[in-house]
Amino acid sequence: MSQNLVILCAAGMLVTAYLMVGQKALFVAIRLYGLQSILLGVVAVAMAFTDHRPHLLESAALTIGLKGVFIPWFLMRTIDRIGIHREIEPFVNTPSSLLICLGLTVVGYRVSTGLAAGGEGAAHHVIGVSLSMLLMGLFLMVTRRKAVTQILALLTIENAVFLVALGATSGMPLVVELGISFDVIVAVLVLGILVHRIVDRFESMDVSRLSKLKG
Amino acid sequence: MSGALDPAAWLPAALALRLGSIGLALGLARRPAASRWAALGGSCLASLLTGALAWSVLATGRAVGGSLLSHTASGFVLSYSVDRLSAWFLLVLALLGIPIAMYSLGYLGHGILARRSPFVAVGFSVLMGAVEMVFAADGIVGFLFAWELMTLANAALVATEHEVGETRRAAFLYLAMSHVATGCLFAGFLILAAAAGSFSFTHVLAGAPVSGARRHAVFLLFLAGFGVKAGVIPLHVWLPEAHPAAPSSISALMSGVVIKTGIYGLFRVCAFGLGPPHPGWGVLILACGGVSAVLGVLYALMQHDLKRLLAYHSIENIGIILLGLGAGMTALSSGRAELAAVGIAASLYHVLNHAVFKGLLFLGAGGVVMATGTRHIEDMGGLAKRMPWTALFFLVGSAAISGLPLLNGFVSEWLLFQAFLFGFQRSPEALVRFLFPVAGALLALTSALAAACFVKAFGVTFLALPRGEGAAKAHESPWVMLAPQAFLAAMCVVLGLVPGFVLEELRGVAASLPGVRPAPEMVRGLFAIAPGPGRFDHLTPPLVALAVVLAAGLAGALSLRAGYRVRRAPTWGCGGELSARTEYTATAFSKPLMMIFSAIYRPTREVQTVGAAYFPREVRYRAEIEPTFERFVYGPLTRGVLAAAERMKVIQAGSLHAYLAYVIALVVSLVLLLWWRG
Repeated sequence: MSQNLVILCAAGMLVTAYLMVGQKALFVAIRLYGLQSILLGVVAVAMAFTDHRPHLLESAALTIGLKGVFIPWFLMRTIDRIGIHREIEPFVNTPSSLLICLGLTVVGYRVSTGLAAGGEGAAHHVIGVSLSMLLMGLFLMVTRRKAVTQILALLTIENAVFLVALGATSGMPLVVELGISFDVIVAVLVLGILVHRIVDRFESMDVSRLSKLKG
Repeated sequence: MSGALDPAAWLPAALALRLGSIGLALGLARRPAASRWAALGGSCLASLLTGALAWSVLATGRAVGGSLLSHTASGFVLSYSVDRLSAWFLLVLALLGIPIAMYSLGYLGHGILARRSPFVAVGFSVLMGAVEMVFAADGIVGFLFAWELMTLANAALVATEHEVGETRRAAFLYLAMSHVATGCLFAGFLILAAAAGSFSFTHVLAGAPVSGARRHAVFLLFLAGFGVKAGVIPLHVWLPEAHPAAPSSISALMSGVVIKTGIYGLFRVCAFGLGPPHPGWGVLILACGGVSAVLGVLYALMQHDLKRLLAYHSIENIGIILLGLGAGMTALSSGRAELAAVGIAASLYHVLNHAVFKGLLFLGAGGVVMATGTRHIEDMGGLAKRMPWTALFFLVGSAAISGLPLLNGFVSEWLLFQAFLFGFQRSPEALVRFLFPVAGALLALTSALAAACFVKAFGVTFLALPRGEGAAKAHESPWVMLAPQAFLAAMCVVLGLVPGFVLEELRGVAASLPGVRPAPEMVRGLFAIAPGPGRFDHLTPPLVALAVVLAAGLAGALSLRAGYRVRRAPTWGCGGELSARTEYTATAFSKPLMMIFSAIYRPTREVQTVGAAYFPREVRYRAEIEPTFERFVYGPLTRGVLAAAERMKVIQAGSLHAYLAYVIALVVSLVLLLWWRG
């Protein structure tokens, strides 16, 4: 039962990742990220009960609280403050993006069978999903212009790494979890400030304009 | 033996002394004079220790080794070992390092900015230490570390007068070429280390860990790497730029010792570290040597910058050293151990000789440049009256580098001639019978041209009347700068008159090299030069000296008897007035040679008359020789590299997305590779 729950949530995460790729509205993309993080928290809770690893509950709480609620709220506030165009402007159009992501998913799933823990069962799906999400996160980073969308892509990659840690190992120790969480917070804060600065200087969040800085 | 008397402790002690004096000098950097004394004094003492170590190894024949530092956690040990070959080069280093350090005490006080002099003194000390480490290293890591330290210290010293654009360019050129050279060395050493499974020279350079085509490739890599440092044509272009740009005492050290690290590398690795040499290798080295010797001296003839002229002579002498090494390797590849010993001995003897006389000449040139404020010999003249001692020592150096008998240059060149003749007579191989006479002829041409060049350099600089204001006001250098020159000039004479002493040590060095077996007849007493067995006559320089003195006395007596009277009168000036303007200039002196060798120089000449055609007010003459290598080899190379860089710039777009795309492309391709393999 809980195995199925884990697989369902993992699949849900993959779906949110796909929706993020297809999404044009910035706020919706942020909310999708929040949903993705909450699903990750549910995976952790389910694993905590099936494998009797209560410390996973703590990291689940951390995940849901921090990534599911705080970071989306903070990002939306940042966007409100700088008052920019709330549309995502990708380099690659949506249908092609989705097709490429499909290819990346195939690659991710195929590779997951090569891992020792990824041969069968729930772990197979979890690792497959997380590797696909990792590649998709990278792809999002490459194709999105705005600094905020790149932060979202980075956070997606972070979620993917967390998921692979859950699937392949029995979850990381709490200290590591805490460390990573703080890293994520600091990264988001710093990136938030950086976005302010970029907008200040260039009156846009378009990072492709940064290339004008080179000599 | 133990404690301070154990030679094994001397090298670490010398290095520690250098480090300590460098630290002290840096601490005193605000007081330039004290700082110079600390750095150079420490360097002198350390060189004395090094010299003593080298001498004890040469005398006893026992190699000395030990570890300088070790790191237990990584198992890394930086060790050194001084065998006879290392000891020979260390001896050269010490023999030249001490006089140069002493000279620098005077020179750095006047020749360059006082504020900068402590750093030049420290740089000198670092350079000495690094070269010492290069000669003593017995592992790849230590060798390459010392090699790079040497390059960096040397580049910093070349850039001493960095306000001058040309100096910055020279230092950059030196660094760029050294980088490429070190890249070659890294590649070569790593191939050898991978094959031998060790970083220690005892494993890497014993026998040949690689064979076949890879052995040839490794040889070529090392030849290129060491060839750049030695200044072998066509890898020489940095040398005539860097030598004049550096302060003169540094030029002396660079020319005398630092470029010899390239020769040391060729000996240690190319000739005796890669197994028995292939016949082609010896021929290649001979060819490099012949080209370097002849072209080096030909280009030197056309230089009117005193230090640049000496720099081109360094190339020439490196060529002569390589001719000896090439003869030795060719002989070695056909198994003629005794003939190989003669070539090797000639080559090593010339290493010492060149260090002594070129050091002397650069020190003298430094004094001249300091006194006149110019490096251009056309603006000098008449310095023999104003700087008599410098003139005398420079004359001795000039005679020695020209290979005149009774001085040291003659001995090594004579030995080399003997090697060629001996090889020609004794070897049935067609290759040797063809190559050795050609090499001998090139050597003879080189010696003759070198003599012509130094007639020009000495005559135009020191004789007749001063042609510039600086030359007219020149003063003799202080004694602290003259004493080292006196010492080196005396060494030129001693090494020329008592060759047996040196040959005795060289026989030991040659015997320690694999495959070389010096003939017992090589040393025939203290005063004789004897190449080897057979009917080849030996030569006794003191007897020649005696003959020369007798002949001179006889000529004098005859002329006295003939009743010539000394008559003092003004020189006949064809009815015109004689002034400094009517002197023979360096350009005029070298013009006939420029015409003879115009196929090589490809000169462009331009005569321009100002004023009416038949009554010109002024005639301007300009002659330039074509910088063949710079234009036809390095020009296209530089343009190619720049064009490639221009193309590569597309990759370095400055766009964040492009960089991220590289990351994802790499990740996906790695994943696909994993898939394809698994």
